[in-house]
Amino acid sequence: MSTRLSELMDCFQGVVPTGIATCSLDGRPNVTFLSYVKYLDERHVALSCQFFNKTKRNIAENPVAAIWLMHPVTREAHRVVIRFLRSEFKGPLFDEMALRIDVIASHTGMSGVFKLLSADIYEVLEIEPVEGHVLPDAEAAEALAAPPVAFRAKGTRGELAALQALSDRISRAECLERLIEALLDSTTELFEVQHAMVLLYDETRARLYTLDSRGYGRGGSGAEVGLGEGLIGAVARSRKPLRVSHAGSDLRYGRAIRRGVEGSKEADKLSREIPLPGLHDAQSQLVLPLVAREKLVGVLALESRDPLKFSDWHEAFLNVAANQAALAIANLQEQEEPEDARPAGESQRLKPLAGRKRAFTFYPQDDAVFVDGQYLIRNLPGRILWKILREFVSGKRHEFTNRELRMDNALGLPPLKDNLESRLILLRKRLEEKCPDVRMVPVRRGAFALESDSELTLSESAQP
Amino acid sequence: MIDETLADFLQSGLACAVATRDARLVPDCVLAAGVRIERDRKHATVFLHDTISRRTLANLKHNGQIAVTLEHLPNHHTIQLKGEVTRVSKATEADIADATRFHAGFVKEIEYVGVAPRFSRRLAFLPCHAVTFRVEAIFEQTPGPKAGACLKEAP
Repeated sequence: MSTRLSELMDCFQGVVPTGIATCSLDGRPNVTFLSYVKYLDERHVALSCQFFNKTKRNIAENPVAAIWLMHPVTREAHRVVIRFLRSEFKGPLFDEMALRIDVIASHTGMSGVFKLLSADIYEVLEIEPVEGHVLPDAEAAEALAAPPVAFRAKGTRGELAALQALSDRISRAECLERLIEALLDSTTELFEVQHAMVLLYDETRARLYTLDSRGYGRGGSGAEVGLGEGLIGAVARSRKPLRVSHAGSDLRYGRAIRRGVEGSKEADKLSREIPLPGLHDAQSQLVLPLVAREKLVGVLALESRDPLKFSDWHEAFLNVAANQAALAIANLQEQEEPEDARPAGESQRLKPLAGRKRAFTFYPQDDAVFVDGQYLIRNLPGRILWKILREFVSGKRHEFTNRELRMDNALGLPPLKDNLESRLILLRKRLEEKCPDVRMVPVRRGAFALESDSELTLSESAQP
Repeated sequence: MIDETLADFLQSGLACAVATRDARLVPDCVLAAGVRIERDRKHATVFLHDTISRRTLANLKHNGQIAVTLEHLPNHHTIQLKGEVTRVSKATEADIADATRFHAGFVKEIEYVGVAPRFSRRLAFLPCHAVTFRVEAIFEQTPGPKAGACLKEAP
């Protein structure tokens, strides 16, 4: 073999459908398109099997197949002859390939209906470049030879320097909010990714909530994803990173299968389609679990409109950063922050500006708080906000400590690992996004003051 | 064999893959410019690039067995035709005109799914051979539980 399989890595991103030809023992060829071929090593690839189809039946009779691999950008092609070795029905490779299928299934409402049956492993017998398939283009060749964008000008030591910079910023963060900012700023700057978000895991509700993001404008904090739901939920449940190239193509593939299932006896198992998180037109995503001491802490999700934005290299590189960030988040969440001993109430209370008013409404049914008729926050952060607003409006006080929130049984904070700090960050961000004239301002370690430029009125409503 | 609706679909400029096999039953896979459905609706002609399809053309000369799959990339609607080759010849001017039309449709399709024109328009399809085959069976090939179902067989 003159061409090495690893030289064709970009062809394995699943961007371009791959043709696969097989032949039955009676000599009748068959050809179909595959959505995904997985590179294993220089001599092996794996194909995902979701249905017992003609390809599978032909392979059982005659194990040799030919696949047509095309580069997703330059369209240069290779003809690869492969021979079936075995099917795997469990194990790390199966789990990795199943995760990708599960994500498509979840987004297209086919969880439990569309699933991986086996990971089929093939030996590579022959690789032949297809000469003459594309007309020459110097610009395309240049694009193909370019190194990863983030370190193009920095030489071979650029990668290490970037990892060091990221690691330094994470290590120096003195609180959870700064840590999440450091993680998001580092990944977006160093990797030239415009869209990134960090979601933290709420163990008591088995849901993830967006704590902070970059590139989505205002209003992204607080968005929630259930465990196992869509791309982010699937990564959180499996605790394995997942890279999706050409997400639009995957969704079209999923929808095509869904149309077939709609007319079958399994139609009643279908559920609604789940929109992609963040960018509606994202073409590639890299989602990394944040896991510390075998516990899920959250998820780091990156998105791009470029279908080839993320490579194996990004996945491996960012996984190192994600692991370090996860440990740092877990440490900050677990340690009881030392509080300043001074009593609350020493800072000066601001007076509202003339003519400015805000109306807050609390809905006890789901602990939701609305401001001027617009949804603001719900659940535990909603209860916290309502407590501090009532005490603020009654004129009793405007400063609060984390300790007193923990001691207040009515708030219902879990006794262990309450994640209070992350909930206060979320509350502060939601206020910044939805009503910036009402602010939670840190006054010292473990204490904050509520400030308002507006006159506040409060009401409760039983109606949802 | 091929009704008007299906003929219109198959000739609408789709992604087109061709499978053949050699004497040892080793399959080969190649992309083609598209298919033309002949007037009798029993035969189809696929256009194969001379250089990249050398192995395919040799296989067809040996045994004539062919499978052609056509996919509409935006929704993955896919059909497979299987049959036996009746004629292989250098493309005529009329063949080249048809191949050019199909190829232009295919280029639009891959641009729709995100391939930049700078690259999609570099795909070579000429000079080509016109390979006519008798359609013996038509299969549903859209991904999903019904993929592989036989829609029609020649008597």
